[in-house]
Amino acid sequence: MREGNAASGTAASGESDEDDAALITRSLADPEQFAALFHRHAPVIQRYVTRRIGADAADDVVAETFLVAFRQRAGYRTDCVDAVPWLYGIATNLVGRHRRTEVRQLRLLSRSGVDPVAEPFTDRVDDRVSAASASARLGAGLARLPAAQRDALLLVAWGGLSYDQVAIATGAPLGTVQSRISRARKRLRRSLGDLDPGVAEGPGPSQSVPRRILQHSLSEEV
Amino acid sequence: MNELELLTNFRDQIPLTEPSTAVANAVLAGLRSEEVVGLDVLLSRSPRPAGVAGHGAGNVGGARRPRLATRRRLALAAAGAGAVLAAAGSLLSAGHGPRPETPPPPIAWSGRLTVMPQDSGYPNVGRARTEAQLVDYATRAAAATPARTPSPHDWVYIETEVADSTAGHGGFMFGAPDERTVGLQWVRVDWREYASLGPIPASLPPGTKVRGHISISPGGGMGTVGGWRSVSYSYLNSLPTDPAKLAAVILAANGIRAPRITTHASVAIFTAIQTLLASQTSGTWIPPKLAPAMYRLLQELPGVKFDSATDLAGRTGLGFYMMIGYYKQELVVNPVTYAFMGQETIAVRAHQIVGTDGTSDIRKGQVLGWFALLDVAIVRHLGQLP
Repeated sequence: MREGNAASGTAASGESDEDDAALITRSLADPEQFAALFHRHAPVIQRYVTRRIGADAADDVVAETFLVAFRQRAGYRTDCVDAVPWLYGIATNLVGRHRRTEVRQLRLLSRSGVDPVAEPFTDRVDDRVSAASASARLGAGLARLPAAQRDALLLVAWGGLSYDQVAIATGAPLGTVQSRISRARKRLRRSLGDLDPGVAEGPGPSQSVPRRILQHSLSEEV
Repeated sequence: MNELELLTNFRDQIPLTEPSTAVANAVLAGLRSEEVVGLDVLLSRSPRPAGVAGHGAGNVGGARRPRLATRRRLALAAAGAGAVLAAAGSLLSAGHGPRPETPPPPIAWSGRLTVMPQDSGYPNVGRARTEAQLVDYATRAAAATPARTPSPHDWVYIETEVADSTAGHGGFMFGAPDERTVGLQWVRVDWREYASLGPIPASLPPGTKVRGHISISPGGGMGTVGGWRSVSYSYLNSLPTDPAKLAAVILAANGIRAPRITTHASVAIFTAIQTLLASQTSGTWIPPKLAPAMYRLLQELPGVKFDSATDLAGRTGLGFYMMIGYYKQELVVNPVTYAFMGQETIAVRAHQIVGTDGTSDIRKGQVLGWFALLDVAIVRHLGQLP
């Protein structure tokens, strides 16, 4: 599942053949060397973040991912030659600040079939509904997952991380990661298998007068 | 295809691209300075849309709706709560300084469900009974409504009722619409912050006290809506009201070149209008003159028909509808306030959708989607009601 240009230790731009750990170590003395890490891995991080929270918020998160990584590079484990899991972990933590945006976009997709991130619009509206139905069901399933399960599942599915790497990225024990991913996959399969064409049509909704919220009160939670 | 493969396909809908120049410059500048400066300084924010005044300018609160005796007012549980809320709102809305490291605390909220009279949007010039009257009355009402550009730090309050099915949904309801919920949202005009409360069961009897928490989240900035170049207030307010010119703008945004309105072009225009009106449920604020212009365009569009209609909340209105393949898409408009009330999508014949993960059988008469826009207004502060 790992993208070809994010293969461990290889240089995408030809700037260096060093692995990520060596690059990071060199950047301690020469900070601008860290740029090679950015050029090497930014596209996959950008796509991961964009898929999760949309293009508008993604730029800030991607830049902050690498700046946080730069700040923390002195503590990087040099036995990990591939820094991608580390970067995905930082990005996932930052994506967590945009949790509501993510869930809102997933719910919009699930209700309307329109992907607010990718926005597939074909000339034929009928094709648009057909093409969107699988994504819409995915959106519904992902939106319903607890955040920790969604993070773990997407780090595997979209980041190509192993369970061990997800444990390192999220700071959770391996057993917890395995459990989260197992539960997430089960829930997602249930969402995707929701269709029951044999359900009989029920009565329509009651013709009620709309209700409104009145006499509300606000207080800051202590 | 299993769920992991579907997830991979879902991710792959986003192309792998290099980050923008702004991102690259921000990171490289940080490396050179050997210290990380706050991102609000390094990254340039989206430029303010042309015509949008700065914070504090304009006077939108209440401008579109007369203050009636029956309207809701904010009742605060404690004397200091309003000041606390206002202070929190101004901190979040300042747009200056570094992004807060931790989100603001959730705000406790409570209220009672009760029956309210129909809200008034534009000034009423008559009850429309035909599409021609709707277009005429709405146009006149819009002309009498001053267009006040909302401040980027004002909030759009949205109240919606949505139908759902216990059989599940995935772009459409899989079974009968046997569940209804009400949701409240506050979306900052510049879409930088967002908060919501709900879902609240629509079946709760009047007088039920509802409690919850409003949590503020980053809004991610202004998004886009399918079929439109932009949904910023300034852009929408700049659009022509002449039906032919408005149609040309919509067709250009959809990459359709047609010397005349073909069936394909007509569907694209109807879908774009439906999408924009529906996007009010996500915080789009439509200028007063644009809705009547869209109604006029619908009135003239080949394939669009008109009928009386009832929305999900039981309100009677005027319906513009179009048959699109196997389904009917209906938009419901308030005949008194001329505001968009909601929409319904219903299959008019049996249909089979073949997807990459299987086949869905749609039954004739199946309700695919249904919602009512109960209220939408500009408010000054988060948590406030109109």
